[in-house]
Amino acid sequence: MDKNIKILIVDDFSTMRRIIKNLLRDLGFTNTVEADDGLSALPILKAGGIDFLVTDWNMPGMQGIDLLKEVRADDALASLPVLMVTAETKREQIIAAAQAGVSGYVIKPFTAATLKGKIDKIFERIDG
Amino acid sequence: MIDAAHKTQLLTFSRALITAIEADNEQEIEVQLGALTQGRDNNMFLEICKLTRDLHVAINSFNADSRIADLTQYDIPESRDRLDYVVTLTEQAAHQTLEAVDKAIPAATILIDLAQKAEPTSTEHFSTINQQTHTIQSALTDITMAQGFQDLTGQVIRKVIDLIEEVETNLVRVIKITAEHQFTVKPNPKTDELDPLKAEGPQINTAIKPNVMSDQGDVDELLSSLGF
Repeated sequence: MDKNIKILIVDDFSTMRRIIKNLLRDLGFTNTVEADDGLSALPILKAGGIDFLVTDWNMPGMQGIDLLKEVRADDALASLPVLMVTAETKREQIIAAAQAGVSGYVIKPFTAATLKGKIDKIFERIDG
Repeated sequence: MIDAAHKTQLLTFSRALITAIEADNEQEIEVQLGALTQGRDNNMFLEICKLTRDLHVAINSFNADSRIADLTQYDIPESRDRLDYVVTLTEQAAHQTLEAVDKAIPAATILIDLAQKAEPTSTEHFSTINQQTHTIQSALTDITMAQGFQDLTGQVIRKVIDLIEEVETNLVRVIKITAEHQFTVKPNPKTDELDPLKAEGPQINTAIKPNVMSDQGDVDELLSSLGF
């Protein structure tokens, strides 16, 4: 797995962005950028160069599920791996995320091992 | 359960109604139908009278109670500020903790490197240093993860703030209405509640909510049933 990939972390809580960033750093991924909701994330994604998107669901402005739908609807971004890290745990929501094309779904609170496991799985699928 | 007298009355009217229907006596059918339903109308009328009286008393005491005005003017905005304060302070504390961890992690990494370099020529002390520094490193990761509480509690507190604001808005409206003695409250349809995808933040009391996943294992199971 290429550790130099550029990762966009989207969460409205700066604490959570920082935690995810630190965990990714511990896993060897140091090339990260941040956004605090879907609206600010979208221009960064459209500008190109992002290889992996980690997003929360519940955010002001544009929510994570809508960001995911925007990404999948954009030809240039459609195949971008998207990991959702969220406190939303309703069955309907998880099914909707799956149908919208999410690559992985981690519920908060999560452990470092869970996050690592999901990221490994996503890249295994891409590389394999 | 209906009371015995009412039951007797209903039966009498019903039997008379059946007799009238069997006899094709339209006029009598009307009379008996009227008799049957009149009791209900009367009861409803009495209930409405009682409700109206209660409402009148409630509105009068509402007007007289300055505590309600204080609530909307001072207490509710203040409780909102208090909750904002909790969100701000926990956020600061979480960042402080993460900053401290950020400083400690490189230090632990340097110690591990040093211990490893020194090990071939050294005594058991270096191996102890190596082990213990690894323990410190994994404890630092645990401390980092624990700061996630700030996001989760923050989301819950924001929901409570929203609720408080809604109560405040409605109270202000009620106060205006009672002040003007007008009764034109329009129902406020809550369409969001019908949307199962609406983001709700952390779920509380998951045990009594069958459609809520209680852990990552449940989520993985659901996703794998969807072909993930």
